[in-house]
Amino acid sequence: MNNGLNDDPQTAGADWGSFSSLPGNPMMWILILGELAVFGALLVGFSVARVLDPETFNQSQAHLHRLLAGVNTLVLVTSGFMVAIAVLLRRRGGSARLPLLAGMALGMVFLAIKGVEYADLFHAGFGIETNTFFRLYFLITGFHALHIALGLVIIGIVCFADSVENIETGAAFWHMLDAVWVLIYPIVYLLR
Amino acid sequence: MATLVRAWILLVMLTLAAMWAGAAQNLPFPALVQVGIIIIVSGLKASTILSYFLGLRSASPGWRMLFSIYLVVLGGAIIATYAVGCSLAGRCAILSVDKMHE
Repeated sequence: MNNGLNDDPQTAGADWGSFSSLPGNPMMWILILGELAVFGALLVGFSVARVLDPETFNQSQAHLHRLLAGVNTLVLVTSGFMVAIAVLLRRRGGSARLPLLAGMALGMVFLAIKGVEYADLFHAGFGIETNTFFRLYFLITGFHALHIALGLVIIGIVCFADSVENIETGAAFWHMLDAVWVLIYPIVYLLR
Repeated sequence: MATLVRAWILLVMLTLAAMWAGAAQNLPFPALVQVGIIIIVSGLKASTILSYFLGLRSASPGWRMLFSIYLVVLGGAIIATYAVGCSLAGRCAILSVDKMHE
């Protein structure tokens, strides 16, 4: 919206007020604000649950794969970097497809690593019913992973419907997931 | 482009720092300080993503303020929760100092 190239007939004539200064479609920002509120509440809830039962949380957390989660953080941050480059290239009039595909590939790597992590836990006998820690762990990371899958679909769509606003909109959703993950990672995996 | 590359390098370095801080054992400072460092580093990472990748730098000051408040409130709530937790468990520095005076 802030590039002067708004080509969406549904929003081109609409007055979105303060939302007009944000990149992408304002409807996406309403979704993003809601998602940030939900993930924020989940992370505070996780921390409160830990205080109520620190022994269970410490023992359970020791079974998580911190290194894989750290690698996944690097993967998702790099994916966000690719998507940011795509927006920059498209604003300059070039093609955004290659960096978007690279960002998607890294998003798939993120999900694959998450799958390995889950498989290891299931193989070791841990599941969503094990205790409060694992219930919240699978809820928060699974909810985020589902959003990543949705984000891949959105990025895939804007690869082809590649107006500046569409790419900014898809990128806004992807960067929101990136920002949320860098908060999930320390709170769920690192803090003891 | 150069700004994005610098932001990405910063994010990678902060992630590696968080991985180190999370894995480190027997650090010469209290657990709550370690929690604070990790949360602040993570807040900086989220802020960098929002400002440089998402482009909130060019958004209105009100939006920038809103997202900054979100990160500060969330990080503050997490640190405060841990402070209460370590006080209850009797393993944070403040409590230890109090005990020394008893």
